[in-house]
Amino acid sequence: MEDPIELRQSGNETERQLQAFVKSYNDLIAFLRDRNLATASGHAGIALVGTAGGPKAGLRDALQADHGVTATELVALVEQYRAGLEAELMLLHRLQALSIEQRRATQTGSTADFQGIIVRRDRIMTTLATVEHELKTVRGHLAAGRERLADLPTFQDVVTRHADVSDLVADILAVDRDSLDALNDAEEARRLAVPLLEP
Amino acid sequence: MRTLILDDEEAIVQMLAKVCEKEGHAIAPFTRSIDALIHLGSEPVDLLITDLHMPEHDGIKVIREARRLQPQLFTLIITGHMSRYPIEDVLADGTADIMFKPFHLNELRTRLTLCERRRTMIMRLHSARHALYATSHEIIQDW
Repeated sequence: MEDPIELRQSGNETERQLQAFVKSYNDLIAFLRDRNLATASGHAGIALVGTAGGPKAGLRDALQADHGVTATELVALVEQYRAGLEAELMLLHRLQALSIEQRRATQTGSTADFQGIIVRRDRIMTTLATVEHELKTVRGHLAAGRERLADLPTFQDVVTRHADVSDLVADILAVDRDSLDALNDAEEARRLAVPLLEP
Repeated sequence: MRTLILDDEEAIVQMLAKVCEKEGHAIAPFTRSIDALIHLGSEPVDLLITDLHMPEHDGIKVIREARRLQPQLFTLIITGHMSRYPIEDVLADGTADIMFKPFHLNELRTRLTLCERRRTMIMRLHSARHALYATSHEIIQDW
């Protein structure tokens, strides 16, 4: 069983929403851990059946049922997934802003700025990979119920957000390509500034 | 940085190796092009420092073959004879630099530092792109 995720507290809106997702995820992990313990002791899931209602309980039930998820449970699962996807989108927006800063740093030749941006970018990328690692499981459950979910407005919202993810990633990769070109251009300019004359 | 040094003059190779080692490079020194190319075919190299005018294969041929074997390679050309070699295309992609003999050791150190800095920036950019691509591929393709 995986350990709960931890995120540094911050007033930042992105991290606030990420915290919400992480909290839900940690609830889920706690539930799965409880369920495994209960199974091991011969009291499978008894303590959790019929606990507080709402999306969280729906999510738990949906996951508990494995192959027999109801429509209501799937709706809760979609909501959960959408929250995670929104967290990923926010991280991608931050990556996009950093990639633009990075392009500027390569154009101006500021190594210090570049290194600072790379460190920040790595941190965000690590968080994105962590969120994605956990979201992947939920996505698997949703993929299995895709046909039943197709008409749900929330599901359509998720589909739209997936397209947003594609667009954002394509944009970041294009900006990075520009940065690589800028690095080469800067080298070219540096060399041209020193005439290629033999001594 | 893993650096291959190629010059048909043993004394130049030794001098370059000494400077590079002091800068923290892992050195593979060669006086024959063919030996350098065999090494490039089997061992990863980050920087190729080469002369242009050599008896077996000239430096341009070595650079072209080296890049075919290791596309991420950076090159520093050190030469006393430029005019007879078509270096424009070798220098055009931004991963190569050139110095003329005789040169001051401080100039060599500066070039090595610049090269390492640029290589680091490019590698980190590639790495960041790769990480983003791999993660986003999961998000998009699994859906």
